[in-house]
Amino acid sequence: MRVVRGVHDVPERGGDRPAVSAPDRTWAKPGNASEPRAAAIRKEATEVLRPLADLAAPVAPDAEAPWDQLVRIAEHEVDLAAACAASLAFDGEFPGWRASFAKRRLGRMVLERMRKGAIADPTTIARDVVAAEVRTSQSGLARWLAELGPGGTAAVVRDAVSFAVAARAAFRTWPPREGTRFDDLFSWQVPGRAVRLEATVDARADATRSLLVFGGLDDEEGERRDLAWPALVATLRTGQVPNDVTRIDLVAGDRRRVAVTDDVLDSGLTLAAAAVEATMAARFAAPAPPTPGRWCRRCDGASTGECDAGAAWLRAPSSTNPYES
Amino acid sequence: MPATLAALVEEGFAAPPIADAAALLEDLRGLLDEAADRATATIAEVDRPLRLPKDRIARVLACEHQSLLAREHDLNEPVVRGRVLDRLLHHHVHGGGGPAPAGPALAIAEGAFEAERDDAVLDWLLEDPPTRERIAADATAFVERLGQLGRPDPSWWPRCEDRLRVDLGREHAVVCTAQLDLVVGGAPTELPMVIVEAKSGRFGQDHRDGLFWYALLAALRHERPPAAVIGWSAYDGVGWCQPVGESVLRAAASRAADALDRIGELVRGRPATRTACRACAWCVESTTCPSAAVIDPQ
Repeated sequence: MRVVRGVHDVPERGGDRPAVSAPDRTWAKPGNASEPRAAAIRKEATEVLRPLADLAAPVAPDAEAPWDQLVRIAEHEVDLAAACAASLAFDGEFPGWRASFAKRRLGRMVLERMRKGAIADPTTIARDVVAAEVRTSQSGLARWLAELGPGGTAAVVRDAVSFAVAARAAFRTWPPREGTRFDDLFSWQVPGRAVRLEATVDARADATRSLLVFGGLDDEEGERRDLAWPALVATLRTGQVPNDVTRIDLVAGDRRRVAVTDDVLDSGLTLAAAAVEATMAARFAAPAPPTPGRWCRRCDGASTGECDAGAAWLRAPSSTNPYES
Repeated sequence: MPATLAALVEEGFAAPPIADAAALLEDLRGLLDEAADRATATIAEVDRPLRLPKDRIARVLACEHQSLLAREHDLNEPVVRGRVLDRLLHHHVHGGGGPAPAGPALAIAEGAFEAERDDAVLDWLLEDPPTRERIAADATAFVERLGQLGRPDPSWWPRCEDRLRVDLGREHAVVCTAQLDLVVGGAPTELPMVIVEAKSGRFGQDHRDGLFWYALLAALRHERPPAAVIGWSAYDGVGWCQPVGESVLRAAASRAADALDRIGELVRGRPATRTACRACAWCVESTTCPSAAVIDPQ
């Protein structure tokens, strides 16, 4: 199966993402000069990524993106490329909305209302958020929410509430610092190519130029990706380097904060290069050779047998653990 | 007389806190970390982390052999009945109050399964009409029981399916996860945390042990023990509130460490023992296992 993601209503990993690039609003205002460090990383990103994206549709300097051909590189693609570049070839279409996908987006809306001073309990706020989304938005999420009955709506509200309360509890002070905003999408298009890098952050604090992402159980490399990716894309988008990125695992409570050093930005660029190269190969050429591993358990290529190496890995009696892990 | 949520939770909020809880939790975490490292010493990297849900603790302690046979994700009538109750509880808590929606109670749960895209449960419910009828009748009774239980006070910030995870041992060797039916209070509210577990059948010792494990996990996750755990049965409307004291947490940690030790030995190849227990009733080897024979079928 080829990569056939459309540009509308594609969820971020474990959540969702607005259909089109939402402009970041205050961090770097139009016309602001880029910082030299950010300008340098933009230049380097252009030099590294443009050749890798040669197979994507070319774009004239001032042309609007050709939406039907746009290749989006977000957290999901970065993670797949880091585990097994071939897996991008088996990554199917967005399978449709479900409560767990809507959780983060709606939960962040609940948090944003709390930040603005809403005093109702989280369930009431979440129900209002869902009702407002249905009433005012034309998005795929809104259309899906409108179709839900009482049980479905309760499930969606349940997930948004548990997310929002866990996130609210993770803040040591409340309300958060002035200039904090929940939910933002940074995006940057590779100049001259229909390839766009996207990073969703759960919160940003403009006063301190801090980014916050909520993550789950992952290995050291996965945590580094969660930190480096938004740092890079925010820098490319705004022309200013964030001061720091914090990652909080809401389920376990683990938190990790990194200052955005040149090493972090370099890591982000390495991730971008790997993801662009793997995505281009999967979409327009022969997929990269597979690198089988535990991720094969979640890959359609391995489970359907389209990927021989992945299928063989699944069949191999390598387990020393008699319990399902 | 059926229990009310308000009375149970207020009793929980009033439970006395544990003196020097931080030292106790440090002690218990040390005990569990050591057990986790022992258990996973020979497990291949690819099989890590080892998952330790509460049911696995109960199973391995009840009968090691059965714990290796158990297929934890299989659907059957009790499991589906429990999931239906959970969805009705979620609607009870997060549905916004007001009059009950028109139509059968089971439709509320099915609406939730659809929103979750839980096709396996939806398909299972369609497989056998008589079973579906029984579950539909149970769902109607559950809604009535939930009505008697009463709704949570919004100021408690009630939330269903609150997830938590505690990693034990070196490099997340063992991952313990829980999804709590209902949590009230806790950090953002300045109220003590109280955990509520709803069961579709009568509460038994296994359920109590499971709730104590949840109390320990919540204590380790939030670095502060919950004030109490509440068990409530939609079967008979009975509820009880157990303050979370030192003995509750120590008992849970001891059981988990024992389970981890046994799992570690089984992973290293020790033959599993067979023990007659409640699980013989639904074990796939109940007709051939010599231990199961000693269970009185009555």
